[in-house]
Amino acid sequence: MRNRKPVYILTSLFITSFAIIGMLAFLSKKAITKKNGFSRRLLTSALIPRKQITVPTKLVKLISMQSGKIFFQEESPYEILSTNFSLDSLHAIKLHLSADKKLGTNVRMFIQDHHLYLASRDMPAIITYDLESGNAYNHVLRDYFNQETMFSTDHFILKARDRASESHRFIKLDLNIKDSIPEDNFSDRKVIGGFETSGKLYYDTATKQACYSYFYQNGFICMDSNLNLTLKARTIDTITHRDIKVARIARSLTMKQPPQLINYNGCVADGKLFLESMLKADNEYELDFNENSIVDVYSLKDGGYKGSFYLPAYKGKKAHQFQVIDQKLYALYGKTVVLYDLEFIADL
Amino acid sequence: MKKVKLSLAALVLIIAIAGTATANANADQLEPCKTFDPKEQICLGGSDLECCEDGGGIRNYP
Repeated sequence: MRNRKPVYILTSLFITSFAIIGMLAFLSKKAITKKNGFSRRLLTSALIPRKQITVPTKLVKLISMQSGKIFFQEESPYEILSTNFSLDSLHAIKLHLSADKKLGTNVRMFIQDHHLYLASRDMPAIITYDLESGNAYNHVLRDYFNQETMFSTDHFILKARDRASESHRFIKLDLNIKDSIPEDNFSDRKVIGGFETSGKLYYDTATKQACYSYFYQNGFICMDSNLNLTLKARTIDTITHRDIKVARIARSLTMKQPPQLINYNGCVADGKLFLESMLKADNEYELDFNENSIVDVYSLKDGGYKGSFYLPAYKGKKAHQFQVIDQKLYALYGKTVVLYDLEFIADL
Repeated sequence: MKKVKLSLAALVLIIAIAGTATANANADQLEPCKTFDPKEQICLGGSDLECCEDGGGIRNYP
């Protein structure tokens, strides 16, 4: 009888420890700490990974899909990767470009037919590379830029820095016409530096608009290919002002302190903007928000909010880039690409 | 003759100083953020988040 006492003690300790863990997990789900003053409407419980592929090097960007292939940009600008839609195969395509120090991490690639475009922000230039012949041509630009999107063959919209005023504005670039570079008429030329209006530029083929979402302020804008403002929309957060202080150190401009990110990653597809928000809604659990990326969906026709979903982390890492193609979401996690079904967006 | 030599020497000196100053200014302009991040430890680039900018270009955070 005396020998059984430790068994009882151990059993009760075991049950108590589980009860405590359960209670703490329940309380952590209940604990909604910081209020940001807005709510989200979740479209689905969780995205389920359908397929995945791991490649030898870190991926920077999903370039594009065409002819049944998906192209990926690697950290090195001298090679790109291609796979099929279901991520079953992998091919490396070597780019025979002459080595250049400025052709480093600040390059974003685009593909149209057999033409690969390398937008080099550090040069500044757009390099056209023929994937069939291996010939390259360097289109050197006057102004530095830090966002770019291609809207048709040889045509780009860039967010570029004006050397004289130090302000940033959108410019339209036709690689075949070098003399005339039209500028938008809505950017504020009094804002010095690109920090306050930092963001991400996309092109939606469905609505034929270039759209730009802000990193540090509420909302997004869209423009047509002639740089006319077509949409100015609010995002669901309640941020009303941008708290950015620009510091001038000799000739350089920087920010005095890192501001709160409002929205960061994003992509456009079929008339919708998929925007990763960095702010937790009041009806969200801290744990869900911290362990996943929350993506808000907006219409690019009227700017309306459609709903949100969680993009899961992979091996503890959040996606650093994602792209929606044909109701499928491809998320990049370092060297891994994960494919998720996104069928519910068809009804939005 | 001595005055001419002295004037020429002064002129050469002025041109040399002005040339060096211009070359340095141009070097600063060519290398982005040289004054803010001279050792290139902060604005390493890679992300879309802007870190620093000047006449030499725009640098982003890693």
